[in-house]
Amino acid sequence: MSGFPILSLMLLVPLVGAIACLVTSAQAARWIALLTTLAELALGIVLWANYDIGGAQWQFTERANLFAGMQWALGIDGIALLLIVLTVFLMPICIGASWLSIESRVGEYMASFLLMETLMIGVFVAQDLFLFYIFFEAGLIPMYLIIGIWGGRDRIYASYKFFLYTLLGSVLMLIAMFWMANEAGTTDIPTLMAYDFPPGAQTWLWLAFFASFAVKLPMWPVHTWLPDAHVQAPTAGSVILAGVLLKMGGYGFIRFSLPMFPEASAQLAWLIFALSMVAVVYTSLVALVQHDMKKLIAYSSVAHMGIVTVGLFAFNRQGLEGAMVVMLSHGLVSGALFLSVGVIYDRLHTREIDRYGGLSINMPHYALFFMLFTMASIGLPGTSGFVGEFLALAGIYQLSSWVTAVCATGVILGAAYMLYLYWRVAFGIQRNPDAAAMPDLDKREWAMMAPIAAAVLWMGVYPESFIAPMRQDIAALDARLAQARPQGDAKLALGKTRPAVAEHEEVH
Amino acid sequence: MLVPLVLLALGAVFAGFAFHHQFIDGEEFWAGSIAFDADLIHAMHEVPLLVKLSATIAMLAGLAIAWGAYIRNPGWPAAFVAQFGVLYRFVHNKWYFDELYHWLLVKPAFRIGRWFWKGGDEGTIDRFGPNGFAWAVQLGSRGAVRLQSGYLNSYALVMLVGLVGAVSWVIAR
Repeated sequence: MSGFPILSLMLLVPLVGAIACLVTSAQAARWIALLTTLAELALGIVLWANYDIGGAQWQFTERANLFAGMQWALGIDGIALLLIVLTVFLMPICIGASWLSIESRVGEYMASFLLMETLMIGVFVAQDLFLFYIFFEAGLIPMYLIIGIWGGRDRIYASYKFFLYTLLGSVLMLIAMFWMANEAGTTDIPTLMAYDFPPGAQTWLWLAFFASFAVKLPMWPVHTWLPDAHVQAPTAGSVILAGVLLKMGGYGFIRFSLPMFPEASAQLAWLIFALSMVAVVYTSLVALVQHDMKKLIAYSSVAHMGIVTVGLFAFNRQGLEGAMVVMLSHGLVSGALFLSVGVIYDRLHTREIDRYGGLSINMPHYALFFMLFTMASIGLPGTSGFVGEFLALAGIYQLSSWVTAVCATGVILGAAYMLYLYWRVAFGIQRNPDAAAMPDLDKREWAMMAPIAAAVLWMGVYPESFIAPMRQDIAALDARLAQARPQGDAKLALGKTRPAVAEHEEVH
Repeated sequence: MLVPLVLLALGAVFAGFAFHHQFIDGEEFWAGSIAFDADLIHAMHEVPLLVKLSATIAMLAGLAIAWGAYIRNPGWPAAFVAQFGVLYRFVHNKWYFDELYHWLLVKPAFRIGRWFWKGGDEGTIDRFGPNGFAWAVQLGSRGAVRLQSGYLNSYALVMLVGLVGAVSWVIAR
């Protein structure tokens, strides 16, 4: 594999597909998009198979000089690898979800999605500061079009809100990037990750990056674009928004804020904790009272991202690994939940929870999948949600028991709003005759649901597959953060009680 | 329904025999995953016999009451309900725990959630955040439009006033 520019190829393939989609008929565009995303998935699997776990930190690197000191610098570590795999895994499912529900301007729609895929992968592979910025910001454009053109009734309001909110934060990040490039004399991300910025400047740089990532993630109180964007976006748009776009904020924290500004991260961790604690409790309670299914899941996303941020700023390995697993798990689970909403929305054209009821009678297979994803969202052991949330909370417990206590209520409230949603949609009597007449999943919907269900269970039962690639990178980040690690309040110590076997042997 | 019940009954009675060796004497099954306090275990061995038999006694008492109420004298439960109505309703409604929960947790959670949503997200963050900015920009542009009247003489007046202001500032400094 050495020397073969697989990352450039992964950026090129969807781009070519996007151009092809623009110039063909609707049905041809659907097939081109599906085949392109499947080819991209195959490339992603090749990438994962060839990724050397425990090898060099940066693999598949490519370097080519562009104009004005900018570099075409690509490369991935384990953290980026997993997010790329998540992206290429969700994309064919998104195309499948749009197969019948998108009827107008199909070519343009598919082209937007494929362009989006290029840009998302670009964010995760970029190793040049400004290349990252370009991918990070350009990703707004296709999403803006997807919401604004193929969205629901209030799509214009939602798309502008999404665009302006996100752009506002990013401008501050751009200014910080200029300062950093000037100070360090390089735009190479691996070099910058090891560069020690003066602590006084770190605070300002951290805040500038925070402005961008906090909006993207999103954190309270800059989260209000998310419910609107999700409600108005077409199903596939919601899947990719929740599945991958939100993860860019978390990726930003783990790639930029933490390693580049460790002192500022420690100094401002209280801000992250405060906002995350508010987010977890506040948005969970708001999710509880929603009448719109998509809005409910959108609010639950904000609550889950709160657990990601406390895990990231726990300054230890459990916290960081937990945050990463929550991100991956949430990418799958919330994507699947939006698909579940899409399936019944396609049949009845409403997202009102009260218009459904008793679906487990006429749609038993659907109810089964929906149940699995509901449980995974709650964090039931055996599903991916449990692994991540447990690790993240175990990590933060070493730093602050109060933050853990408040954030753990998010798990309880999560059970409350998700089970309440599931009960109203799938159980009870069939209140509405039109909802009672809906047919169960067809083959296309099976093909969308089953892979995600398998991945959720895989991640829940054997998370090692997903933790192994990033273990070394998390350890490196943990070592980098050691210089700034704050003192915890838990003061954990090993108990005197020993494993039963040792005790047993001593007695006899 | 009979087959699963029979299987479960068999398991309930015999599972202890089957796995006793592995769970209690074996060491490889738990593989160091459980820990115990040796002193506590020894102390537990020394409790009076009655404590150890308490579960069995409770079971036998239940068996006797069930036999009395459903086989020997089936009229007994109805008579009991008629006699101890308050106690019956209290137990029948699960000590009113559901009602307590509803009143103590569910209703406040919904009320707070609705308040956060309508008052917080929509009433404060959106109102003063994105919508407030949009409103301010709209207001500003409406003002700016009014300035652009298209009359040359008013533009000339503004220029003159500005020039006079600048010159007087320079002189007065």
